[in-house]
Amino acid sequence: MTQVTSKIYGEITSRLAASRKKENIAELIGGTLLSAFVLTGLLLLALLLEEALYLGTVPRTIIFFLLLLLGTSLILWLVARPALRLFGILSNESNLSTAHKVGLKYPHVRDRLENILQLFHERDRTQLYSVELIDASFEDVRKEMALLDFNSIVDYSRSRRLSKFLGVAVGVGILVFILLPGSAYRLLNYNQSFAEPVPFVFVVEPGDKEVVKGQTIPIIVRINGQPQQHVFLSSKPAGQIEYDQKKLVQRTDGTFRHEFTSLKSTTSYFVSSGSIRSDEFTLSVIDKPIVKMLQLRVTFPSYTKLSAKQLDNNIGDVTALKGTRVAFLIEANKDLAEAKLVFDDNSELFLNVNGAKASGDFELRKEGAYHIFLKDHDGIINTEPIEYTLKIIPDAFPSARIELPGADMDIAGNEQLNMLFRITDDYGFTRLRLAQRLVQSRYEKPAEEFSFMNIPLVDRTRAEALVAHLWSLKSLSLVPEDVVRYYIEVFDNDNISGPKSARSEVYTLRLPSLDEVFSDLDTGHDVSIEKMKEALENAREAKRDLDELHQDIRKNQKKMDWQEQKRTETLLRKYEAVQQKIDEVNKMVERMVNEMEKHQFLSRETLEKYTELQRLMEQMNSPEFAEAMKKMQQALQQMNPEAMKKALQQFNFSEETFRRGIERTINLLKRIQIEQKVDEVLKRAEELMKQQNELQKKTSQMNPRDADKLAKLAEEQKQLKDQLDQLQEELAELQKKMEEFPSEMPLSEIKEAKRNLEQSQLAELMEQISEQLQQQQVRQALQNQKQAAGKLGRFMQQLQQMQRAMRENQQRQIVNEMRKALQDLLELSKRQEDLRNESESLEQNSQGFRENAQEQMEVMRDLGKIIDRLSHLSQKTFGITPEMGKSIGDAMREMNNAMQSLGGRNGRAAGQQQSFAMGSLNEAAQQVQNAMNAMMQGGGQGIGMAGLMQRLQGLTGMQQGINQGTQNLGGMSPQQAAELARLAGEQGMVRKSLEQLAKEASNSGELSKLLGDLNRIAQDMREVQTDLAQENVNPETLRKQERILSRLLDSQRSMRERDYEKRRSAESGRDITRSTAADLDLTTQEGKNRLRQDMLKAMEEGYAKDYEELIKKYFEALEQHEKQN
Amino acid sequence: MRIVAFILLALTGLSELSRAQHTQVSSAFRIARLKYSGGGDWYNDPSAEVNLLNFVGKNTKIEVDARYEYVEIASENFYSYPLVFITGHGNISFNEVEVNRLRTYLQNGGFLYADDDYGMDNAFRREMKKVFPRQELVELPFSHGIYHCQFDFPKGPPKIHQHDEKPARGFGLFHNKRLVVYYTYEANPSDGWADPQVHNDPERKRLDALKFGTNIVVWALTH
Repeated sequence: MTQVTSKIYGEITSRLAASRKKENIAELIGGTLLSAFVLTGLLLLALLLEEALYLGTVPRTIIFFLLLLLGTSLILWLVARPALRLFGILSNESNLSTAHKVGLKYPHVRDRLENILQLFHERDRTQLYSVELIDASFEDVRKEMALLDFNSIVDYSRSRRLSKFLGVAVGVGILVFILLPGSAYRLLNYNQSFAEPVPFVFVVEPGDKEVVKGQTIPIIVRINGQPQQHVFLSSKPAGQIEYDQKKLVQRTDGTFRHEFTSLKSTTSYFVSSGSIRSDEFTLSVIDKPIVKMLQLRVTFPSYTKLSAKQLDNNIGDVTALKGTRVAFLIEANKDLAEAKLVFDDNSELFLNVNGAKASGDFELRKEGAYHIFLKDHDGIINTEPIEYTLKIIPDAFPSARIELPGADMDIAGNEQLNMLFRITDDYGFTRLRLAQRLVQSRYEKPAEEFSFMNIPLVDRTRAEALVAHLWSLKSLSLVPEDVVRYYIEVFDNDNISGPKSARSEVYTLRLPSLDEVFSDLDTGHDVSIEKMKEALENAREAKRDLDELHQDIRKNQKKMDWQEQKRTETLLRKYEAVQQKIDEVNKMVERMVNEMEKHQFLSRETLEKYTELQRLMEQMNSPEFAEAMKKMQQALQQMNPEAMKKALQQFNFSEETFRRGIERTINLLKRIQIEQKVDEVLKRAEELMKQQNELQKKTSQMNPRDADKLAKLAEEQKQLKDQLDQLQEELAELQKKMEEFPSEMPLSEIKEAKRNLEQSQLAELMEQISEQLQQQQVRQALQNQKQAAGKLGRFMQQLQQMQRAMRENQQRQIVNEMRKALQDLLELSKRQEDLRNESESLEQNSQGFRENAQEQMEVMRDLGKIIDRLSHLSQKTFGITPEMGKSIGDAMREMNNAMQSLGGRNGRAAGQQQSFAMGSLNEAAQQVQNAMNAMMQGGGQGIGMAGLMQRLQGLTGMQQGINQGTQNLGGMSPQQAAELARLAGEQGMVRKSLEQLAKEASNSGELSKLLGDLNRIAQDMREVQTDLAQENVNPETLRKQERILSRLLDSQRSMRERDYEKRRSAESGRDITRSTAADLDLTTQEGKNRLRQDMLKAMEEGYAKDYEELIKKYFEALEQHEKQN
Repeated sequence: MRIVAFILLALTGLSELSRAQHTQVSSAFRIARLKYSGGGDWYNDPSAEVNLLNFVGKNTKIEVDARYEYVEIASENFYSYPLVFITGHGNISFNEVEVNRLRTYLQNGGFLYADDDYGMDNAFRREMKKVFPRQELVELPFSHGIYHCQFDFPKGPPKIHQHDEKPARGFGLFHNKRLVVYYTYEANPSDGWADPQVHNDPERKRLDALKFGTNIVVWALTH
């Protein structure tokens, strides 16, 4: 082998090696592309498969690892292998193979290149070919091969193709990754399990949220994906195990909505539909601060003397006086960062905070409202705080009222005026004063300003006080016809806004002249008598109608007709009118008596007679008469002639008594008027003398040179002269009235007194004194004044003598007539006794019955005469009592019965009835005897009202003491037992006194004046006495004692015949008629009555009381007007 | 397995049935007496509502559950009563929570009837001012429907008890023009609902009271 051959061989193999390297590179590129392409394709396939099938963990794991295995294999085979070859790690193909490829590439080369290579390798072994030939062959091949490109055996077309496919595959892969990230994620996380994708998902708002306690949270659910019809909300407050489920209703916008209202605790919730549910969300509730406990303590201004007051828990409204200190203690539900009171005028009061508590205080100065502001450490504040009100109770104005006298009044002289004031205020007073001003006077100039006089107050702290004050009018030096105006003024103790004052009504006091008073009394008497006369005339007229009616009804046996009914009605009305007139007269007499009492015009005797007269008038409207009238009315309604007849009969009897009562009243009234007139004349004379003496005193103290004052005295003396003239006229008037009853009245005495007065020329003397005073002849005037006083004194004595004579004369006459009546009654009683004895011994067929009946008739006739006489006497005196009338009436009735028994030849019955008649006669005689005795002892009649009253008052006082003593006893010590025994003794004594009093009153006919049942009271007293004696004081004992006292007081009231008990009847709700409220106007505010609101607003402006009243009235009128429209 | 399933099914069915029955009972009209704090005797005359409900049952088509029940504003079942009745002689006090709940109740269909049994007036007015601060109790005119809806009361509320001898009056509070609180003063119908021996009211008065109570129930349920 030559060198050339080796060289050529080397060249050829180098060239082949280069080609093989290129081929390896091409294979590496192609393998890489192919691997990438295949792997991308497989990955896409797997993603699509996962997307489509939503594979489970196992298949996903298999796929994942398959992909991994395949990818690794491909890379090893297609990438790693050529790379290793390239780098010579793996053996490359042989030169022969490469040469073969070249031969294949170049057909004309065929196997020549292979042959050369083989020849070279086998050069040493073969002997067939020469070296030169070999060299030449090599040379040929070299030349031929030099023209050839061995690299052409490397094929890049596959790589180019693959790169195109790979580009597409990578593009698709990226797209799939973007579109199906879930699948890729799941594939990559092959070992995790994933839920299968749902057809829809819930979007829940607000999801998780922190909310403040009590807040309302709306939950809005939207569905992404397949629309759903049935969506449920499940919720569970903290602490609850199970969910509460609620179906949600779809709204028009496709959403579902639910509200958690006023959330109180943390709540978990989720929504679901079918098997699909949302995530679970939580509404975490945070407590907002609230007031758990509110305590207010109000401390009132010191002047109120009220103790501080703790309001009820959670009461935040404050209604208190101005100046009240209000302390707050607030307890919140959690620790606080800040607490304050926010007032409606935007002012604030910060409270001291300590943990969950806050406190503070302020002084109430104005009205308004406030709320409590709280803030916790998270900055959460309380919401909707309660608006509390602050109201100021205005310190009320005090009020002052004059309870007594409580009206304009005439006073009787320079007396002391009993006054009673009622003052009220909410918290007490500082002072009270009486203001007075002379507004009218005959002698002095009226005062322009009020003068004040402080009235001491015992207790200034009371809310209401009755202050009694005795106003001495002496200091006012009033003279007749002076008028004083007065009021009281009270000041309260408000030291916050300053004391407020209030005045009472203004009243006047007038000192009338005697003439005026007497003139009024005269008129009163005249009018009273006239009215009584009218009443009598009306009663007589009614009586005529009654008789006619009675007769007609008796005639008409069948039936009452309409006309009769009408007549009866008219008749009853007439009687009612008569009764009304009597009532009017009674009231008039009462007024006169009051007036006379006030002026002390009346003697005790005359006053008692007036009282008796009033009682008589009240008795005229007796229960019997009222009952008779009632029965008439009933019969009238029933239209029953029989009942009517009976009613008429009964009425007839009562009417007779009624009419006689009127006549008696007139006669008594006339007599009393004379007695009053005598009292009056005496009073005038007395007053005249008093004034004359005072004038004399003034004259004696007068400076003889003081002409003005002397002129004034002269004027006063002139006044006295006028009064004397008036007295003389009155005397003449009295004489005239006395002449109506010549046999009873002291006509001669009055005439003599009149004559003496005229002869004394007192009037002329007074005239002279006046002139002397005018001419400043004081000494002479004084002498004459003394003389005048003496003459007046003598005149007074004569008048008093006349009064005595009148009374004695009256008494003598009445006693004589009573004595006569008494004798007659006793005689009749004796005759009745004889008759009884005879009747009882009569045989049935005896002739004696007739004689006996005749005798009985005579007794009855004589009794009738006595009745007439007593009736006549009753016109003059009150000594003839209804009890006497009753006893005599009983006697007459029994006599009548006896007559009938005698007619029926029933001697035994007749005797019994005659015996009863005799008893009644004796009783009547006893009553007349008592009345007569009382009269002779100097009392007007019987034991006398005054005496009875006095004794009853005494007993009442003692009973009060016993009651008090019993109530004060506590346990039962020996001392208290002894006290009880003492009280029992006292109670027994009072009982005995009362029984005695009842007996005396009964005997004297006074019992009817006592409405209370004295015997019943005595019975109660006996029981109480037993309880006390047995040391058995129980609540019932105390109640009995109260009852006794109450009845004793009632008895006194009934004696006075002025007060009547008003019983309050307890019932369940009585309907009270009232008008409707105004129509509601709900359009503006919720039913608010605007007018009322306006009014309240106006009232808040703080007007004075008078203006407030006016404002109220104005709004009421407006309201009325609105209603009418 | 089948047996277990059957038992489970049966149990579920029974429970549902029981719930259904309970619901049916609860549909009858009930009145709750409002228990309040403050010291007033919220509990007096427990026979009142029972008698009224019986009367309402007999004289109207309203199905009633004539029981005496009481409720506190703070309790869970407060909102389940269509009509709540409050009475007494003394003080009433609502705390902030109670005020809010009562307001919610009244603004959402509830009805409160208050009857002053004497001495409740000031406290009740004050507490209602907390609930509706901007409103005043207004007197209802005689023409208002509550006086005519079932029985005719041409002169307003009947005077059942005497008290201060003032005229009987009826006041109301409105929300969105709906009467939500009705309050009788100086009338005291609820005394007339009580058993006859309690107040010895005449039968005529009791009948008036029950008729009037019926009007309140009918009005509350229909408005």
